Amino acid sequence: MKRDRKRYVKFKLHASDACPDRSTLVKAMRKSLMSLYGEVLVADSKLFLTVYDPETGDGVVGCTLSTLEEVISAASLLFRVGDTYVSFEPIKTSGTLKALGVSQQ
Amino acid sequence: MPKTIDLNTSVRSGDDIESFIGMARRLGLSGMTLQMTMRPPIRRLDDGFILVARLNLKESGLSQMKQRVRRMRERTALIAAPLKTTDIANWAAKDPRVDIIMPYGPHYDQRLRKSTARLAAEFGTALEIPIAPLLEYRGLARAKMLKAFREMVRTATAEGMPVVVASGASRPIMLRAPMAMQCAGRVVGLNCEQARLAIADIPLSLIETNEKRLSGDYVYPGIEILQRGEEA
Repeated sequence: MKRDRKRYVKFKLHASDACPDRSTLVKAMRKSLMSLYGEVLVADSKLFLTVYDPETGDGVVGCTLSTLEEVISAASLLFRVGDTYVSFEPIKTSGTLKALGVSQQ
Repeated sequence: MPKTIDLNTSVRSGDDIESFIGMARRLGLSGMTLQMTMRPPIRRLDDGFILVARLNLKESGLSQMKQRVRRMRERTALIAAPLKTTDIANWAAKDPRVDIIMPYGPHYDQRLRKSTARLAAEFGTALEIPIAPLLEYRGLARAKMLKAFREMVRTATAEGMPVVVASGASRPIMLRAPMAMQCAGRVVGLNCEQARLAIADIPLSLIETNEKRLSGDYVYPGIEILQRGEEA
């Protein structure tokens, strides 16, 4: 079986208070994706948070190429994560982490 | 990313300006609007960041709106009218003093008529889609709103009416980065190129046109004073 092609999105999370922790953020991203596009797309997206630093809000989210646009759109419409208000800024998209200048945690 | 100006931020008091500007700069925006009058109505800061005075018409009737536009046109760079009755929408679409037609809350479920979109396309009035309600609402309420937005965008693009996407932010954290605004444009039914135009080229061209209009040399669309002669 052919494997899905992956894409990585480098992002910065701007937050009103301290940035949310890793699991809260990834849950919120999946919830936003599900609310906007449904369960099938969440399943197909294989969304995962590859790199994330709650101190700075910098991170990389991975997903399949076919759902890349929906993942960025859903993340861009994130507003409240836990008790924190956030603004998601997509910076760069690539097929490899190396091209984004980050190494996997 | 091309130069992106957020055409709809609800900055109403002087205290908020600094925090909005700081956030907009961090996100990579090149300018934003203020819902207040200022002189001149378009101001460029030292680093090139553009501040634009905008007026949202909130009057209930058409005649009050016309009066307000007459009084305020010289003091604001952008005037936006709500997509209320057919009369108001058609007037806003064809009045060269009005730049933007926008859906309004709390439900944002208005309908853009084909004839209004055609008029707006002819006179260069843009449809504005705000992102803020998409952030605040969830579930069925957001689905209904998305339905209305997507229908408006479909009608506007079919008739050649320009579409702009703006944050509609009432707090700095509601501002979105250019790429995020472009993605929101895709959610409301714009294609990639249309979404790019909606956040960059069209807002910038609206501002440049109005900057020219507000200068003393503008007479009427297509007519401007290029050189003044000596007085007799």
